[in-house]
Amino acid sequence: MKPELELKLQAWLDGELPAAEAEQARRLAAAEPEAARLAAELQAIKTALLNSEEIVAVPETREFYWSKIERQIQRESVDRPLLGPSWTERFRRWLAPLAGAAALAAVLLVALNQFRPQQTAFNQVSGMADDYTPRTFRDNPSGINFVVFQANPQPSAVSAGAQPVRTRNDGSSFLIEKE
Amino acid sequence: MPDQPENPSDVDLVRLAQEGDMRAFEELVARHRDKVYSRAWSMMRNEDEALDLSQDAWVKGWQRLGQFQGDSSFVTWMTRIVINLCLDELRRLKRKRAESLEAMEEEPGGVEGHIPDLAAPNPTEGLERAEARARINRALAQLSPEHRMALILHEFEQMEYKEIAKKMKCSVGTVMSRLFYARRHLASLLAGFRRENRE
Repeated sequence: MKPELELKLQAWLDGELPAAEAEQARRLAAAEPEAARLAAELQAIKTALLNSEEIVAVPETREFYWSKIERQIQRESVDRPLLGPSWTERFRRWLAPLAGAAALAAVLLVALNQFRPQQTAFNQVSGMADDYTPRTFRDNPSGINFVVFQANPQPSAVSAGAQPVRTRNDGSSFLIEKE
Repeated sequence: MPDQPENPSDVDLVRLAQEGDMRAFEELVARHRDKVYSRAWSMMRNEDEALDLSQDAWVKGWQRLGQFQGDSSFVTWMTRIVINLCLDELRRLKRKRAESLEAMEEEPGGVEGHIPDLAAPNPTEGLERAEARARINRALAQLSPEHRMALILHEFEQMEYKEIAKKMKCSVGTVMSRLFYARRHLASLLAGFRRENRE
């Protein structure tokens, strides 16, 4: 007999097969003498083992047996206290809902931030120089100052010692400072 | 054990022990020590190992009392603890001894292939209960630890294949194979004992 069929017969006797397969196994045992003999042997062993377990008495006195357990408990309790519910259990009971709430709050915050209009307001802080009219704009959230140099209508040389600037196509120049 | 009834139930004793009452725990040990030791002995087949492991199980039981929810009886809970310790110990021993025989046993055509033809059914038929138990006990001792373990978990602890696989850290197929060959080997051994007695 094939090993798969042998194991199927056993699983049938152990009540581990779904109804349809159990019926197949039953038919096999009824139809094939070898399968019937195997099923009978396996069943006989199951029956023999039923209630055959011996309770073996501890080969030590109650006091001596307990004294070793007690000593071990005391020795180990110095290192670690009695265990309550496991950490996984505590996590499930308390931390998991808290962690879930925190995660939800974080998601909400990120989502709100995403949809909030960007407030990049540049306010003119000061203006100076004769040939150029510098205008400084400050973006408070990012801490960046933008200095834009707008050429005056009557051109003149940039005075010595002036800050190097970049010039745009429209004639204006700018300098970026980061605080 | 303050103000406790004359013959407190396991549930009462467990509750007291969970509050730190060691005398209540000692009483639980006294009540169930034979059962817990027996399981260790049936798995290990060695008195010293069974004693050590059963005592370790009680220590663990004390330490984990807070986790006992009463889903099963206290003694069932303790039995599961000692089973786990025995399985760990057997794994450790197996690694240490590097049993090459075990690998052969799991292969088709290996040691298990030499099991003789089907034995006559009812190998303990007609025997006194005590004699039948003694023979089964003797036969169980001759099985490999893995086969014996599978049989004990299935027949004595009423575990399903899946649960045994989880405990023994193997596949359901391996459990089925171990159970099958354990039973066939047991049948063969018991038939041999019967023949011995006749001669």
